[in-house]
Amino acid sequence: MKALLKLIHFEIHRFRYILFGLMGLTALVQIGATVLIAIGDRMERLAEYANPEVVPGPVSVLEPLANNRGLYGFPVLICIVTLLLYVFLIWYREWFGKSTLIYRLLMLPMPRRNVYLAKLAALLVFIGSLLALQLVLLLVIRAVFNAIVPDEYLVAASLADMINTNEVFQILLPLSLEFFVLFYGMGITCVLVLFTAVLLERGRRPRGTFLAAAYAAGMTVLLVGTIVARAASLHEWLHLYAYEFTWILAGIWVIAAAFAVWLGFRALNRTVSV
Amino acid sequence: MIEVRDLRLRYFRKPVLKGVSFTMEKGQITCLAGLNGAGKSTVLKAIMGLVPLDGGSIRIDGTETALHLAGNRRDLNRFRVQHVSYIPDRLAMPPSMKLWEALRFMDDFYPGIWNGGKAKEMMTFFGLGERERIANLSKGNAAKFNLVLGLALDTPYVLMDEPFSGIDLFSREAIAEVFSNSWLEDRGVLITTHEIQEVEHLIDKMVMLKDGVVAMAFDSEEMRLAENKSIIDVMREVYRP
Repeated sequence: MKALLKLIHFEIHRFRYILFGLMGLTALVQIGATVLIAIGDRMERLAEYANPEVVPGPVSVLEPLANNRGLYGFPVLICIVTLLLYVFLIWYREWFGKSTLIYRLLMLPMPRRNVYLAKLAALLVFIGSLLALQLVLLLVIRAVFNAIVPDEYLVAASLADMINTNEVFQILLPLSLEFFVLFYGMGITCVLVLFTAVLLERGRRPRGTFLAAAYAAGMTVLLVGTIVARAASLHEWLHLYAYEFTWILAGIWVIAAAFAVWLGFRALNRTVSV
Repeated sequence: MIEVRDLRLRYFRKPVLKGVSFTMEKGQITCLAGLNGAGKSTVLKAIMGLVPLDGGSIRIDGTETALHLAGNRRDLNRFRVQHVSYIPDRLAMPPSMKLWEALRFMDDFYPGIWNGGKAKEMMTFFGLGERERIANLSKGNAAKFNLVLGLALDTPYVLMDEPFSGIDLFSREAIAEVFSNSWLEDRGVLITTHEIQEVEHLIDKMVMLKDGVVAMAFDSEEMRLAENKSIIDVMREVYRP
């Protein structure tokens, strides 16, 4: 266990600059946008105040969030794309480049599955850190906005309201536990499938490449198939209740995740090649 | 003793190893020779479980370690690493690390196997500064540091893949000196090299790979006494068309 924790620390340490960069970018864009919008609002209100014919309307932090979805969502999108690329890079960087660390990782005096688990845990820590930052940033955004806009025009907004105004936040920070488990469960399963595909591909060529392609294609058909089946309300045709069908589909995802882990461990132990 | 038996491996349908068998023993330096692409490095990687095999067996002090036969054993990596240290032909550490960080990494991840005192001794011997970054090391210094990382692991066997490859004369001399001092005493060494002349006088046993099989294996001293031939003489006979 101690060895695994050390390996997780090692993986996090290697990504720290990119992680801090993503955090910095997100904070800068979202807080910067809030400051600029809030100052604009303040000026507008003050100008309206000077004109006795116009009655300035109330405003809350929900308005900038709702009217500038792209601006607030942009850094989040950058984080998601970076993490998605890192799902591949976290493995491929060990094989390519000036030094091939995969030799060392496969020769550590511990079960090889620890390498897999450490990379997975590191990715989850990155996702968790960025989500935690986003939550904190929403509070900061509200505080900044409220500090700039004159109190007399301010309308209070809850954190839940803020999340609900922007689709990106709705997906990123689901307010119900059910959706949280669903979104992140699906996300983690996709990461596990990609990890396993990479490890199969890193087996002996050309067999490894064919195996990886076949596995990735099979999993894509299966997992995308479940989403299509759900969207097409296939349960009616199968004479099942909607909740029964949902449980069956969730079961398929859980089995796919377990199979990916088993196959990934097996590939690391038996077929992966430097 | 490490016993390699009937190793077979295909790469893109082309057979690379067609049944390689040999043994190496503690206290001896065994040289695995062969032309480029003969499969020397592959054999070393197979011993460390870094390439999957099509067949064959690898026994380390009597324990089977070939991936296709023992890959499910949870303690396989630990067992292998406790017995064999592999020094690949490149430095397997992140280039962004400083040397002291790499030494600390080894100390952290190889408890009970890593010998920090020996590493320090070797760093001084090679004149390596701990504050340097791996990315900034010259090829010669990278090869020396690679040796430090491999030889400071207290294992009965050491595998070295081309330790003299592409480095200057003085670095080669410094590395060659390692073979005649106490760091390799009583350890079984398996080395692949094209610079045979650097270590010829130290080699106890030669294993010559050709066309995916062991074309010839002999005790170098016996060969000298019985047939009055040096290792290079025999290599000429085996490899020259």
